[in-house]
Amino acid sequence: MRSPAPTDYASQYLDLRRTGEDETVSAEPSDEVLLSALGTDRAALGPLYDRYGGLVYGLARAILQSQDEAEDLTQEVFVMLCQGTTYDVRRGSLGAFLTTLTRSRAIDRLRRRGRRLRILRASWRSAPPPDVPAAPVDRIATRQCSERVRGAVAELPANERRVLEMVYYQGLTQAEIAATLDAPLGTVKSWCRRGLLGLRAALADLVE
Amino acid sequence: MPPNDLAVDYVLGELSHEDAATFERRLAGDPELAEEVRRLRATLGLLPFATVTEPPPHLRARVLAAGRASAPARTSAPRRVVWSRFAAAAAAVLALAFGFDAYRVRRDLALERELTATLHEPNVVRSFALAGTGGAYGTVALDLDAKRGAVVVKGLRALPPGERYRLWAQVGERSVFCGEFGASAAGTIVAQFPVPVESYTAPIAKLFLTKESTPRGPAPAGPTVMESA
Repeated sequence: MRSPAPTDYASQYLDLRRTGEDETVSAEPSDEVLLSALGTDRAALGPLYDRYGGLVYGLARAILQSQDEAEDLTQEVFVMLCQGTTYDVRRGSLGAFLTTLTRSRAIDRLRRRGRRLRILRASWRSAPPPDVPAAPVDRIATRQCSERVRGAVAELPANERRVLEMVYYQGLTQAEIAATLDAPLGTVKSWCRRGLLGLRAALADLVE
Repeated sequence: MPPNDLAVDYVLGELSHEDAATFERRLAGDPELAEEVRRLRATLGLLPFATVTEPPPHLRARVLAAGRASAPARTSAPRRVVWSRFAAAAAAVLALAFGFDAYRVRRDLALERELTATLHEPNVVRSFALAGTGGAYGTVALDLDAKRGAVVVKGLRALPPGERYRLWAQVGERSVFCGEFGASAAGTIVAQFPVPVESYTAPIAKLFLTKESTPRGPAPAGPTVMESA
């Protein structure tokens, strides 16, 4: 991820805020400041892209399995942000909003491709409650969060990781996964459960 | 099944509609379990962070150019409204029709918050406002993923024996039957109905309610008494 550019923009919209528990002070404009500026000044899109482009693009690519489509979708999502989006800062972090938006749009595209998508259920149910203010994820950079989640996923036993990815990115049911892996359904179920409970434990501080 | 296992299955969407409904009723009385569900959802919500990928360098210029070229804030509401006000309305409709005691649940558990979160996902739930002659009004919410819909209408005329209201979706050139209902003496319909998503081969142009006196055929025969905007 490119680090947010401390450009003229930052000085123009100076917004001191705490960015982490180390209480460092950042001169980068907050998401909120950038978003409100975006309505009249599209230059604010640059820092937002630098902050979230990797999140949006990565998720789009993971679901769509296509670089071209992921690029198209990334553009679509950021253009939506420019067009007076429905994002409401009081309802949760911009990161959560963008992943929800990206996932749903990616799913839409997959649907158009005619793929079967149980992923919807998993994805909408995973949407963080909208009115929880300042989830911990808001307070740490995307990059740090990414490292944490990547690390936690990597720590999972291979089978648990694999089935969670199949559920989440391929939209398969546990029964479909069982058939694909030629494994008993009960085994797949317990991999899924242990995998998600394991992740929850490893990332407890981010979801409390 | 241990509650935690059930919670995982619920969050992963593995429960049948009936089991999910039963579980949701259980959640209403078990704040601890509801909190576990919230944590599991939040955990699942973190997964995208594992896929953060440096975009190709040319994409930045392309996105910024598209942003500059894009029109300013839209002037009309999108057809597919999900965030905020419609979600709350649709949540209330679903809650009513699916048998939640919405207000109690809301107070006790903030389940409404979760329903609203559920409804925030574009493409999953679509809601339609219905208006009719004589002041009838209502809302239909379609959860295409759960394959269920809910309708709440007020201000209808109660029908004489032998007549029924039927709800239809106009899909392309066809009318897809949604459900058949009688109105209460007070002129109210509160009902849910299955949504066979495979019938929805094109976007839904509108929903409409007809008054029918003949056995159900593939298309509406009686007059339209309400339709969506």
